[in-house]
Amino acid sequence: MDTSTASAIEIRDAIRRGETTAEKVVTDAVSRIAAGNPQLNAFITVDADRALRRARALDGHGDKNAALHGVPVAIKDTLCVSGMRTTAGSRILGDYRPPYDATVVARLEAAGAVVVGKTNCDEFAMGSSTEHSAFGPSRHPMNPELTPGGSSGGSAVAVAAGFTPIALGSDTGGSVRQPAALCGIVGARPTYGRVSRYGLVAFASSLDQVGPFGRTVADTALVQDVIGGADPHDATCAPQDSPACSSAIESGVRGLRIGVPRHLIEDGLEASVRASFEGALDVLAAQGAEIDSVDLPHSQYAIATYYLVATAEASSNLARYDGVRYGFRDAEAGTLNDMYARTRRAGFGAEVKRRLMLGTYALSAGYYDAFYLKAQKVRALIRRDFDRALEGRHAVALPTSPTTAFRIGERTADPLQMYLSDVFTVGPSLAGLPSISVPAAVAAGTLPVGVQLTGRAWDDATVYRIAAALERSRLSR
Amino acid sequence: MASQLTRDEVAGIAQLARLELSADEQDALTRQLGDILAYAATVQQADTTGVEPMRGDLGGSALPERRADMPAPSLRRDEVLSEAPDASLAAGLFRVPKVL
Repeated sequence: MDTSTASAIEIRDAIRRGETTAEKVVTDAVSRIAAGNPQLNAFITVDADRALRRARALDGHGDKNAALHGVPVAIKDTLCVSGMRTTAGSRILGDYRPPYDATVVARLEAAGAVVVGKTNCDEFAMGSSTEHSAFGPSRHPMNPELTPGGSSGGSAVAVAAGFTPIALGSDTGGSVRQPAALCGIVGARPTYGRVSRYGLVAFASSLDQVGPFGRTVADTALVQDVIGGADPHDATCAPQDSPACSSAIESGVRGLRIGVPRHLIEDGLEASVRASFEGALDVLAAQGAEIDSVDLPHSQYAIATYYLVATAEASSNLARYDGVRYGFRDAEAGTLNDMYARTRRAGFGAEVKRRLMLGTYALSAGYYDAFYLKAQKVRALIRRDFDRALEGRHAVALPTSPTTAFRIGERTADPLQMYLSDVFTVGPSLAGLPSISVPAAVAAGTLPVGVQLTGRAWDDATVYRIAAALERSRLSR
Repeated sequence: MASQLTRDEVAGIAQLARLELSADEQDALTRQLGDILAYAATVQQADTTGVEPMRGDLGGSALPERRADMPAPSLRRDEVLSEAPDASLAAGLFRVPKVL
């Protein structure tokens, strides 16, 4: 078994059957990372000793029936792993080591997974290319001149490059789905409130969700099922039950109704994205799904709405990085206010500063009503658009990204141009709906394209079901 | 809404955000924020008559349950203080420069 291409489920089952051990699997993962990470920069921190100790313990007395027994996993560096350096892609946390695990990390480890390290990301999850990391960009495994997307670029690379079969990222405006699409893997954003945010470095609290990456739909569904569910540490994590993501994966799409907002894709798509997206719709129709056109009338406001709401919430969430309690502090400052200002000046990168300024402005006296409050009203209209589109339909389908992976440096001169990368992903985020990106069939030798499927709240199982049907068709060619 | 920000306005926002900016950063941000705000201001064109802002309730999912107000162990104070740039474990406090 080649663990660089095997699925998490295959690896777990092989260990259970005694064909390999967690120690062997983790040793292989660590070697691959050591060989490939210098070029791809997927990981900021790798802790091979910790991973091997855990793997040996699992081989010795672990529960072989655990859902992810012995499977190596990469964790985005915005998630806390106790005792392991957590940077959020920034200098401002210095060498901070959290004294606690994020709930999602604790659940993965309870299920037998082995954390091998923390992956690179845009600073504080603010970006669509991983170029805004304080630790350099991550690079696309198919072509190192290209970005893997962002902000969870490092985690996407870890899976796409075969370092680990699964990874965790976080998705605020598309930061799991878009890198998944650009790298040719599966990435999902749960219904808001389905997965705990405890231990996720907060960017925008009403938008952030932890999301899984995998090479297969089944692996991705399994990870979401392991990490999800009520958590007393997170008041925004709902206690309600909903069907497991893997519960309907084999059920096919016969009789499912899927709406396509054609008005959003009349132009602006790269040719290969258009071809692959239409091809995916043909596949779904051939398998018995009913596909029609649907309208999302307030989509034109989605990016503006997102960048007002998210940056406003970020300006509040990032106020805690002040040099007092953790991380970096400017030691030269003579007074408290100087310490705040100088610490933040030195510790934050340009994109973070830009968004903090925007968010502060949107919340400031005299502008709050016109910007933040107005944006929250438009957000309600965007949610209403999706609710209407999904009445009598199971999902809305769009390309995840209007383009394939772009070159490092191509979009950094104009921040607004980078923001427009998110045009299809911010809507589902604002609406709080489950949304998955699954690879579409592409012509040989061309860059990956993702199809984004967005479903009704708490109906994550159906978007995984549709994604699985597309995957079966693509793999059977 | 103004799509052009003045340098003074930018300085004022920086003060609110507790960010000290260099002269170059002020120039760059004055330009960039002006462009971004002009784009963001397109939300003004949406008709939101009678629409409640979407806050908290993200589509009618169950309200968070309130837990019983009972003290329980949390993070260990020593562990938290030891990650600080400057702290007194003995006093159980973070240490910072004087206010004035």
